[in-house]
Amino acid sequence: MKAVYALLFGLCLGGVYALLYYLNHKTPLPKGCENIKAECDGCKITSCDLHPTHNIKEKEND
Amino acid sequence: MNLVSMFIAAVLINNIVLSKFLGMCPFLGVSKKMSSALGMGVAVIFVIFGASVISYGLYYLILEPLGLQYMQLITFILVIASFVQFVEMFIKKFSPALYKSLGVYLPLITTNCAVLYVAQQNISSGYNFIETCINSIAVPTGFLLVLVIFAAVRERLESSDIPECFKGNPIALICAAIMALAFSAFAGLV
Amino acid sequence: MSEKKKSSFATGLIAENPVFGLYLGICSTLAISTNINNALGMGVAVTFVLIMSNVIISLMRKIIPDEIRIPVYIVIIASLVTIVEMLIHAYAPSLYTALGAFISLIVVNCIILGRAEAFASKNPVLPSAFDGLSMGCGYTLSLLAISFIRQLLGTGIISLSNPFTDATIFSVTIIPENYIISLFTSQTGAFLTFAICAAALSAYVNKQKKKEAAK
Repeated sequence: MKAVYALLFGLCLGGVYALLYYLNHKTPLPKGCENIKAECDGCKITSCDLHPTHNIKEKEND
Repeated sequence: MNLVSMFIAAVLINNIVLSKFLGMCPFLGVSKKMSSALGMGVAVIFVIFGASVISYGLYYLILEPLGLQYMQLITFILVIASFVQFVEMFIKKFSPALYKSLGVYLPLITTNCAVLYVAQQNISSGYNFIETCINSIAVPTGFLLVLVIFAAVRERLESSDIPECFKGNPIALICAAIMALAFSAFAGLV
Repeated sequence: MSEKKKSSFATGLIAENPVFGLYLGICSTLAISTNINNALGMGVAVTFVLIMSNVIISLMRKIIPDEIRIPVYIVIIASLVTIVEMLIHAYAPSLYTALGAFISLIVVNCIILGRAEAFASKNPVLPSAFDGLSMGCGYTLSLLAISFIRQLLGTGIISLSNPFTDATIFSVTIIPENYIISLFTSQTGAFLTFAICAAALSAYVNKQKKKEAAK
């Protein structure tokens, strides 16, 4: 019975997160904020869209 | 009085960045400009407080009565991630001004280890609700303090002559080492 | 093993070392590198989670809806870390105490989510498992390097013990007690050692690049 509760609870939380994640990504950015983005160069993964060079490299490829 | 000394200890003595080494990614990544350091710091205070209180509630109201303590990690990480998504969505919809100053930093916070650490620390230290609230404000305040000091240092670093191989993160870490040395002097404060 | 795989394994260890090259997983590296035992335990735990999460995510890459892939990855990784935490708690209690909160913080270690997103979500099972092994070894190697320096300079003793029984395997005093620099066991020492290791790697990579440019 405990395992069922655990599974239900986990699924519930996971569902809430997935839903909020989906809804958040559908919500458009407010007016005037389209071009503002936080930049983070703490690590060197340039494929992360928070890295400052992320967009620059993409433009070069075009 | 006990709560005050707890606050001071969490901000200065057991500083989350310099003494526990948590939240290093934003510490290195978002400390180039003073404005972004401030925005990130305040956003972290908000997220840590909200997520910790919700995690605390879920743990003592659901997990413990049902004997599901082993779900703690999964529960907490999902609460933090959901909370960040919810806050980001809420701010996007209702306050563009707030989004400009705080909202942009929210995507950086989900995988910030400081958030998960504080949520777990509140449980493992056996804090009651008031202590949880104080701790969840004090720890990120320490983060904000160190981030702002560090941003001021890094603005100076921009214009200094640094050996090629130390450019970027290595010299920043050397500065962090000196800051940690300075902060270790707070050890006898409380 | 093909040539290409060999060279990609070497890049994961040196030029694109996840810790000193890409600056991933810095928090745990700084915190638990006080001695070799903890470093080895943490390295093995992270490597295990990394391989398993890469394999599972690679197996499920065609089922997971693209819009909610990050939530799914986080649930998978959190479950794996819970399993690892329980195993360490049961079989190596002293390691569990020494690593403390940092075992559960493997969940938010960027190496794992980063590799899941960048590699395992696009590649078949075997290469993903191999990628996990290579990145895990890179992480373990960096942890060992930094903890070796800190333990040597800070305590003068290099020792290793069996995490399951706590029996000492070997213990060598290299620097006499009067000449140790105890600063290296403190937070400051962690930051300094890390910075110097990262700078050394960066100097090495720059030199290799110059050599290639000269050709």
